[in-house]
Amino acid sequence: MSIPLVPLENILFLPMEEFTRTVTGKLRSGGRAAVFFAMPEAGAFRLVMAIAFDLEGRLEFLSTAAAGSFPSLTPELPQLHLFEREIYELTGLKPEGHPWLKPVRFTGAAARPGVAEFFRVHGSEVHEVAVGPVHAGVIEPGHFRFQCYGEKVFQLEIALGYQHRGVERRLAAGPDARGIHYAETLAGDTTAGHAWAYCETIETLCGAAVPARAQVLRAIMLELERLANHTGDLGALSGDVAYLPTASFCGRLRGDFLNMTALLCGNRFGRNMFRPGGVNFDLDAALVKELKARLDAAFRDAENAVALLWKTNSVVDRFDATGLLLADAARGLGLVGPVARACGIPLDTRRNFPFGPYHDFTLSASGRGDVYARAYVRWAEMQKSAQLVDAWLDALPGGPVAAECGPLRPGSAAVSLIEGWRGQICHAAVTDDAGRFRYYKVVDPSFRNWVGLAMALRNGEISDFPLCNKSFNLSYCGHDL
Amino acid sequence: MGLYPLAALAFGGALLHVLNHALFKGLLFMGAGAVLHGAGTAEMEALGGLSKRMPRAAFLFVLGAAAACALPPFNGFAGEFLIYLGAFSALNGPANIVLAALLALAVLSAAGALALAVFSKAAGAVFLGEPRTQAAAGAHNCGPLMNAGMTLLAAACVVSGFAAPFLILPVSTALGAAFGLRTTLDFSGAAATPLIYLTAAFLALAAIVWVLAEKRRFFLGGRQPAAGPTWDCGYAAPSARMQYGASSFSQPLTAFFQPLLRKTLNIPVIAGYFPGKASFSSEARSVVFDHLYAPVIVRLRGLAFRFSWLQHGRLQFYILYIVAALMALLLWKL
Amino acid sequence: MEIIKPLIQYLAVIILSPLLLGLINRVKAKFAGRRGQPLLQLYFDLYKLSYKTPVYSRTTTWLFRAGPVIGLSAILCALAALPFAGRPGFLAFDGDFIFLIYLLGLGRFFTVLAALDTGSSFEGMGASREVQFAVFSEPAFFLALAALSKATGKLSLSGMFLALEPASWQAAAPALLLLTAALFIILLAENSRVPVDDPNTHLELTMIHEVMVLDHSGPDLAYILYGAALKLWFFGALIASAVLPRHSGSWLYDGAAFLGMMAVIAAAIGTVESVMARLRMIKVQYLLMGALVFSILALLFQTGR
Repeated sequence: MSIPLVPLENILFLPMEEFTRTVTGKLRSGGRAAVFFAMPEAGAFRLVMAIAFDLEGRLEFLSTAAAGSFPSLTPELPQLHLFEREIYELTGLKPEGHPWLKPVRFTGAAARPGVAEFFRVHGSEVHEVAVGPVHAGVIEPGHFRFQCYGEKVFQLEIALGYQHRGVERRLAAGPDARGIHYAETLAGDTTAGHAWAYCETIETLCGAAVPARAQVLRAIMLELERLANHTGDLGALSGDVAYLPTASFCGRLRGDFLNMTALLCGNRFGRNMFRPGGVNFDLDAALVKELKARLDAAFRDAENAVALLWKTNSVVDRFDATGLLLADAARGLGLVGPVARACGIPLDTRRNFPFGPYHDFTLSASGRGDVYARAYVRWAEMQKSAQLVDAWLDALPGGPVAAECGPLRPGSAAVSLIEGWRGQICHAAVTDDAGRFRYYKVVDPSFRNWVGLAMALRNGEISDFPLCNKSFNLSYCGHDL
Repeated sequence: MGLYPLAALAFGGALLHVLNHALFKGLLFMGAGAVLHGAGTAEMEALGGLSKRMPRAAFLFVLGAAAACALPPFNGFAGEFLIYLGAFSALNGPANIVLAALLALAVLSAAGALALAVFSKAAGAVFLGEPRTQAAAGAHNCGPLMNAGMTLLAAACVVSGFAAPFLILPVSTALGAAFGLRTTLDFSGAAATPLIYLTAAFLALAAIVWVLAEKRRFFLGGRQPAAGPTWDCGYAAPSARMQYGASSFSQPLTAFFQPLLRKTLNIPVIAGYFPGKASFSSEARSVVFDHLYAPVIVRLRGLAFRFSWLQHGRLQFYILYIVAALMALLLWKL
Repeated sequence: MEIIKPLIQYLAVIILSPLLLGLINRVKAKFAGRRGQPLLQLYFDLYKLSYKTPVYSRTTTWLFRAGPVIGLSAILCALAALPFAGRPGFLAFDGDFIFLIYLLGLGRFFTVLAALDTGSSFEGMGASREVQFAVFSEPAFFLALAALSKATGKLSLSGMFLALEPASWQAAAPALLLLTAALFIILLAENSRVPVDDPNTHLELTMIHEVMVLDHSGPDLAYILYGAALKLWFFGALIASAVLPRHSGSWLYDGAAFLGMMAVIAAAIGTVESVMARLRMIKVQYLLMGALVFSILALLFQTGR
């Protein structure tokens, strides 16, 4: 069951005041903003919001018209803060009353990424620590500004935008043969997630029915991606606390999971597997057997390596109560993914909006929002992923692996929600009268979650920052697009 | 008891340290004066980068700071060395003396490390890095007379560091005047050999420094080193607030000793996801002054206030007081 | 005064110390299932760095250039006074260990100032941590040596180690064990090893020693790396001398046993680094206070007899 497409004329259009009131009401009573964007229309703009009711598994669309400015909803609903800043940056529509109107991606002609007014804690005894954009490791660029007194951090502010490539604009020029490649590479380690979201958007718009075998193969790709990245994360976390055994083993094991992805499609990161309508490559019986054997071996090794983490007191002590993120903050800011689940929030697209072969999925949510919880949730998800892939490989449905995709339905909107390994990925597309894309919006889970890292560091120790950053492990490219 | 030699050693060391202390403390105070004169403020958090604006004062201050931390080869080391030696020698005595020596050693070494923290903070925050305010950026160099005074004291620090054995004579004379000839002999006997070895070691240290400096020049091979900004992670707009502050430098230590220091921290409460304004300040009042001296002073002042009727401003009565005092003295002496 | 033997000892120390780090890295690599860097890697690094042209920040002054020179001189001078296999070095006098500890303090002072000279918040952070841990490790160090002095009745390092015999271990085992443990913890702290600091980390915000030298390059960095290797030898030599009581009269045999013990200590450091994670920065104070408590207990045990 994917989210059905919505003809544009069916999207509820409200005048601005009523829009504000309705949105506030819905978001306060169990809704969560899946996407909020401003589409150019008739000289002005049309604000469109898709509200996800996670516990009921349905999506509602609302829209209104705006020109010049619109009343900001952020003071009442903080989860919309970054969407409104993005709208301002992309279109110039000013959200009146926004408490934190700063650039998101520094896309202006004269803008220098990262150079902005940062929040200051006044006082001669406070100093600032500026980290980045160039980091001392193979990490993407981003700027972190700490307001510190000695080792204590009062406030952390994050400025990104160094990797802005204009992906949304290029996707909106489609659909064409390049679209899938833009989707695959917009966040290089989330190829399966974004590619699936892109393909599902197109399939929803053209009404194609993806065959069951292709759905399962897609899910196997997604779960292998999750396994590889979570293994890498756990290894990196132990590397950051100087616990060498797990760091070394997980480093190798991540490679093993990536090689399994390569077994399926020839590319360790899963490029060139997804296509609108299905997948490009199939598994034969020999490959299935090989994949199962490799998965079992790698998972057993991962089990041993990760078990060391929970058994070593010094590691647990280091992870425990570090980088606390309160559940209220996570909910209020609309965080998603393992970060939210580690605060105990039961948010998982595979459960809330089942897609592909995910039926009756049991999500893993536990912990009180510290580094330990975020690490443990990753381990729980790894176990679940391995189980799922094993079960699917045992019972692969027969049939073709791709279906034909016809032309896109004109004048419609489609939203696809996929649970990438970082959290909920949302692609929203609107078609024009010719059946081409009129507008394309991508929301990577990192777009929502970066602010969570800033909250987690408040009143923390600055030496805990690298560990917290690693426990979130957010994508800079996914945010910058 | 065989403890007199140890006591002589430790006491002589203390006297030697007092002498050297006068030299390096004077130098440090003069340095502070030069900074106050040049930058107009003595607040560490407002200074920085003064080494470029008053290079000689900076050099001499660092020298004085090294002497104050009792680092070899400067003069602060010899006195502390002798005190340590006395404490270590006392370890072979009876149990209560050993406990006293243990306490002395623990306190001395902790104090020495704290001194290092303090003086590196002072020298670093004031003279090094980038200027934190306009006052610091526009500081002017001190005049030749100021520099001459500091140079004199600095030279004295270096000389008395290397020539510590020569200072044994005045110190032991002072000890003899107070405690007798036996102490003089005990002290000079115990202190001479180590101090002579120390001077030899200092000379070796100086020689090694010279050799390494020459070797470095050889390695550079006449090439000009390149100049660039301090590593700032490639950020496009670095600012002077991005360097470590003086208060922040000592924050871990002040946090640890908070029960003793009773520092007042006005921590900002940053609530909400998008905070408005926030500020932080801290204040460290002297605990000893507030809880020990101040009550006594207040009481004394109260007592003295009772006699304030004596000060009424009439000159004639003041002259009468003098006459009365003289008469009383005369009567007493008769 | 003997010249040849102390000279050979000194040369051995100067030449062999970078090998210790190579050994530690090899042990860690074995634990991680890797082959590891070449044993002689530090030598290659030192050679490469010595002939590189350095880059100096415009914010820095003479202190930045002097810091590495003074730091290395201090530890070289300290090694001249350090006993080797129980034999005295060039300098041996009553109270020489006080001089050695203060020489390390001299190196620390100028390294900290060179770090503050750059005006970078990373290096200021490292400097702040360095001086903070010194406040806890120096008393522990002094008291450990006090316990050793009380156990042997001598006041100079070589005197103390010469007087240590297998019999002394039997007689004063608890005290010697405690002070060895204290010295080992101080070694881990002073040389930035796990659990105090991770020498292989790239995360500047968590570093203590490595971040203080972030802006150094070329021959300056070579001096600093070499000084770090010498400092590791210094602390290792103290532990090796305490653990290995001298017995035979042969200089060669004792020397070989001493070098073997140094290798064992390097392996022990590598093992400790491989089996535990590093501590939170605030908890390092408590670890060092633990070392202080060990030293005090060692001293008190000695007083009891």
